[in-house]
Amino acid sequence: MSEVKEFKGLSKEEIKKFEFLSDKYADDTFKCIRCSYCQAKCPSWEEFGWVSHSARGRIQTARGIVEGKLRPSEYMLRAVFTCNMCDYCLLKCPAGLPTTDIIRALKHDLAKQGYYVGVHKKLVERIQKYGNPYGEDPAKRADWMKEE
Amino acid sequence: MREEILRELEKIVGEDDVSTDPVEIYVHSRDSALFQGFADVIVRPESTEEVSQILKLANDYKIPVYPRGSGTSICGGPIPVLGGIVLAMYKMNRIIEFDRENLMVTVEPGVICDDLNEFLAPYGYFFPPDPGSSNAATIGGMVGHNAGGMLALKYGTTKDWIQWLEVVLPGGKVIRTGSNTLKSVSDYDLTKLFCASEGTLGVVTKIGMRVAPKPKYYRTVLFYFDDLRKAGNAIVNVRSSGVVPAALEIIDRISMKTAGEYTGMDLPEAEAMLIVQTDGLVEEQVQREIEICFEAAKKAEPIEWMMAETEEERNKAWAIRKACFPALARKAITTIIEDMCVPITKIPDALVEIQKIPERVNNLVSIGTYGHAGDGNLHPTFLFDERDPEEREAFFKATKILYDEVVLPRGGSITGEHGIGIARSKYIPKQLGKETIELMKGIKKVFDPNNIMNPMKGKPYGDEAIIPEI
Amino acid sequence: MDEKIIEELKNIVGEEDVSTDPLEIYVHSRDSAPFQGFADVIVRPESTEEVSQILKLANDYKIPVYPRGSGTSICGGPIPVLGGIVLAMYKMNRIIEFDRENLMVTVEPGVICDDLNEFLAPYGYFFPPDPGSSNAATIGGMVGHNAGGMLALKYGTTKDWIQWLEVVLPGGKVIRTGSNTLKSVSDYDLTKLFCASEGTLGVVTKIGMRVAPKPKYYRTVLFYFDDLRKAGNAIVNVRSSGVVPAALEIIDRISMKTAGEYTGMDLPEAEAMLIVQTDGLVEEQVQREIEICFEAAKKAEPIEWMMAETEEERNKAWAARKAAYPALVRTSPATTCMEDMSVPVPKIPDALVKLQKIPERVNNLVSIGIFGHAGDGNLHPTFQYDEREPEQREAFFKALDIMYREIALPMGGTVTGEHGIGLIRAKYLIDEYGAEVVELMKGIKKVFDPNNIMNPDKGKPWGVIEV
Ligand SMILES: Cc1cc2nc3c(=O)[nH]c(=O)nc-3n(C[C@H](O)[C@H](O)[C@H](O)COP(=O)(O)OP(=O)(O)OC[C@H]3O[C@@H](n4cnc5c(N)ncnc54)[C@H](O)[C@@H]3O)c2cc1C
Ligand SMILES: Cc1cc2nc3c(=O)[nH]c(=O)nc-3n(C[C@H](O)[C@H](O)[C@H](O)COP(=O)(O)OP(=O)(O)OC[C@H]3O[C@@H](n4cnc5c(N)ncnc54)[C@H](O)[C@@H]3O)c2cc1C
Ligand code: SF4
Ligand code: SF4
Repeated sequence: MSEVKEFKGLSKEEIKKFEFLSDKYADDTFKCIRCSYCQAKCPSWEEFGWVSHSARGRIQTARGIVEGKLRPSEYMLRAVFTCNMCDYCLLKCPAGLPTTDIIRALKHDLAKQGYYVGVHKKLVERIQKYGNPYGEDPAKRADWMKEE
Repeated sequence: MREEILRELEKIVGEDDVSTDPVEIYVHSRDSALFQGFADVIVRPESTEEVSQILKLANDYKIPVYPRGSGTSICGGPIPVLGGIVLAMYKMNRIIEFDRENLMVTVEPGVICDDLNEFLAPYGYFFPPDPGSSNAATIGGMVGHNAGGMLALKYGTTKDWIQWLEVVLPGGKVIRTGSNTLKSVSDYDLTKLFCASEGTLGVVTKIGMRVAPKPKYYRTVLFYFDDLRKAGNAIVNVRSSGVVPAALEIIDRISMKTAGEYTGMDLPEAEAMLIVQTDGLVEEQVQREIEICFEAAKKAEPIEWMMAETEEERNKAWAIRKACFPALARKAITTIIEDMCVPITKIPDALVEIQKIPERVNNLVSIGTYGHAGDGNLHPTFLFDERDPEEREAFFKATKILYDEVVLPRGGSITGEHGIGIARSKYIPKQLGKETIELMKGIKKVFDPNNIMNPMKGKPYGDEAIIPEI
Repeated sequence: MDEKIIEELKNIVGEEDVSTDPLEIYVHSRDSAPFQGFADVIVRPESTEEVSQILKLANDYKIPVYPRGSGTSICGGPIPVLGGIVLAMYKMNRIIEFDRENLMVTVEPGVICDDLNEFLAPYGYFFPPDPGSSNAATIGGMVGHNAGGMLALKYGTTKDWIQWLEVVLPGGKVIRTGSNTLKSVSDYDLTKLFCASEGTLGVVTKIGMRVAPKPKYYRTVLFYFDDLRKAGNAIVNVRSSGVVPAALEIIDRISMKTAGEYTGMDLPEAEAMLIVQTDGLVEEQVQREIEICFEAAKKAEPIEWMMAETEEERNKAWAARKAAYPALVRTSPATTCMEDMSVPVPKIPDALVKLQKIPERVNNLVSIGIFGHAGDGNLHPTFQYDEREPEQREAFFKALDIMYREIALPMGGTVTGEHGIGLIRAKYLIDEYGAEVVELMKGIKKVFDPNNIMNPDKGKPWGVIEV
């Protein structure tokens, strides 16, 4: 077997924190039959070419969390958040899974626990510091009008 | 896995094409079957040369290598049961050449079946093998399992269209089997030996295949039977009518009911539904052939039928068959499509026996069956919840009944098109005998002396295969 | 050979089925190729059990065994080059079962192809592979070489119809490959591995195969071309018309001329003749298909054509093609060797032009008439010479070198489309596949036959013959 040790994943308590996912979509992640119908033309798959960055990969990642075999990581964030929610997978899934809902729940739960991708992180930092996502001093808020 | 090996892999394919991230390894840990296994690293080669260097490295260090297409296998075929390298063929997905005069096309293994057909369509050709998974399955994976489909009765399976293969062997040597010509008997048939070898002999890196003229006309007729035996007679009648239909599919009561509910179509109460389709380039022939099939099947006393005249009616006729799998899949947490083949005369009998299986396991699984009646290839589809240990156990017990008591005593084969992988490994000795397994092991050793290629799978190890945790 | 072994053989098959008579040995010393080898004994087993005991004995004593059907091989396939036992399969010629519902038939290897078809005809079925030698070739021999024929383009070759085999391995173990079902992927494809293995892996003792509905209608059209390239274009046009004809045959000028003289038919002056045939169960379809083929071929500008309307006309159309080989045999000074090669279809004209130039290159010591299965690129250049003349014999082998090494292989072709490697094409195997593939084949051979008793020292798998 693999020497990679992380497959121990999250504890039951930690999994519960993925509330959206575990409450609503735990069963669905198991229902995925891994047929790859959603993968072939998934735009992020076509761009990145790693299964983790495809629809199938994301549904599997959700299962990995729910079944306690994966834990969040930078890489996971990138894999999940590069989904552009185009719904192609939703149309293709023969099992009728709410694929984009599952991905949305995964994004939501990750974000809620403080796991964001780089750009999100920056946004949050900016909001915390400046009260807006643009990283600008609120005092200068009306400056643009002057330029006219 | 040793760091230095990872570095070497990175040197071969580039850093971007090597991943050891747990997420990546996890999403490559399953196919469509129940089993799971974790690799140490996923590698995406881009050329034969890269594959060759990887197989040299892997052979030197005796590291297992698992070629992988889209992972739609339903038998545990590409699962990394012993760790090591998953060789993801995604990037080798070029259609290299279409020789229109010779009617041959050369592709890399990562090309997806539907993409190839989309490419061929404007020229009026197609690649006939049509697994249900054609929008995801790669040509490499189809060669790996020798995929079939609904058209197999008339057009054959994958191997019937493959003329030659470029294969990288463990150690890195590159060979070419077969010939560019339509016929050749110079070698032992290595090309067909690689087809259905399930990645255990080498990595296919280039595929030369024939294509067929795409039919222009289709005719479809649909029958309902109140008795499986009558449906069985209809199948035999059609097959001996002289016409080889392009499709001859069967759907049992449970699948019909589920599909009917799912599509909202109002289907008659029946034990089985048959669909017969003819195709061709000459309209009169296609028409005449369907009439012959119709007469033949009607003798078996269907309770109802429908001759689809228009494209719309044809789509309606097919809607049920196509809905079987999605409709069943929606009914349960876990859906496993099994695979078996019996002589066509044994189909009714087999269906009756299959329907009795759930009772035998306290109804902890349910089964809907449909399949390619024309060649006796049925897909009993099992529904249960894999998270429940009892149901899981019931599933394994049910498949054991399926193969040991239904399929093998009827002179059948445990797999018509899905392969052995992990799922069917323990039934091989009963079908083939120990002696044949020893021969297959011998062949395996010739190609792969260090046993690095998709090691310890059912083919060729039979019941010695490793069954990983689920 | 040790008397003791002959006695043991007699114990196994009975005295009458063992012969060491020089006459018997002599008549089993050749096939249709110009080679010869003498066995020690000819044995006629009658059952799988007997074959099994013979192979146990032979394996224990490391005695070579050569399975033999009717000996119509044209490559030296069944010739006993190292002495030993010729296993004559004549007596195992029963049609065991015809399962009409499953459309499968089970036969013993000694059944003759035409006999099988005669048996199937009343039921409306046939076994499609149709070597020119079908009235003599056995099903076992057809499996051994994976025989093809004129129908191969539409119906495939022998292996496309074989579902399972019962095989006796050296040592006597009996295995069954494949499955009774129409599809099975449980094993590595051992069935197809045995097809075209030329008796080097084991002895086939039972054969399970599919049969096809016999066509009811035929349409035939015939074309003459004044230019090989135009004929080549016609072939490509027909193949890309969408129709897969049941036959698409070519005959070159020399064969045409010889056949014309032989049959007394008055054929036009032409560089090539093409015959296209369609077949099927539905008359309209067969008719429509031949029309499509006709239009396609006509675009390539034939100088003359004939659409055969009646049965009689059709027979006439085929007469020249069917006469090609006998006519060449009759006009040969002594020896006629029908060779085998295959090229990608678009390369046929090129190949024909080059083949016709071979005699010049060997001082016209051989002459060559060519015909063949144009639809799949499989040509049979047929050499005429006198094997008793050392010069001519040498010229013949030199001509083969030119044919394979300068024509077939550089065009991306193969050295054999259907006749097999045997002795005659052994040395070209490495040219075609490289040493690595030959090593693999040797490895496979060793798995089945560790003591190398099965048809040893043949081209397959060794590539180079050691004697
Ligand atoms: C919903 C569904 C429907 C299906 N319907 C059918 C059907 O109708 N008919 C049918 O036959 N199958 C069917 N299948 C099974 C499966 O799709 C086929 O076997 C398919 O050919 C697998 O292709 P893949 O690219 O996913 O290969 P994978 O699953 O990735 O691999 C399959 C096997 O081939 C090997 N392999 C892959 N690439 C290579 C290579 N380049 N060199 C050497 N070995 C290689 C792997 O190691 C593995 O053993 C179905 C599957 C699903 C999920
Ligand atoms: C005039 C003529 C025309 C021909 N036309 C064609 C043609 O159109 N197409 C074509 O493909 N061939 C053709 N051939 C070649 C030949 O007829 C075929 O290869 C045929 O299949 C050989 O059958 P046989 O019974 O004579 O076998 P043999 O010549 O006796 O043996 C052929 C090979 O098979 C092996 N073998 C035989 N029986 C068994 C067995 N039971 N188990 C294992 N191995 C066995 C032998 O060892 C040998 O290597 C032609 C030959 C002639 C003389
Ligand atoms: S919604 Fe996301 S996962 Fe689904 S296809 Fe679009 S990009 Fe891919
Ligand atoms: S299409 Fe649906 S069932 Fe198939 S892999 Fe994607 S999410 Fe899973």
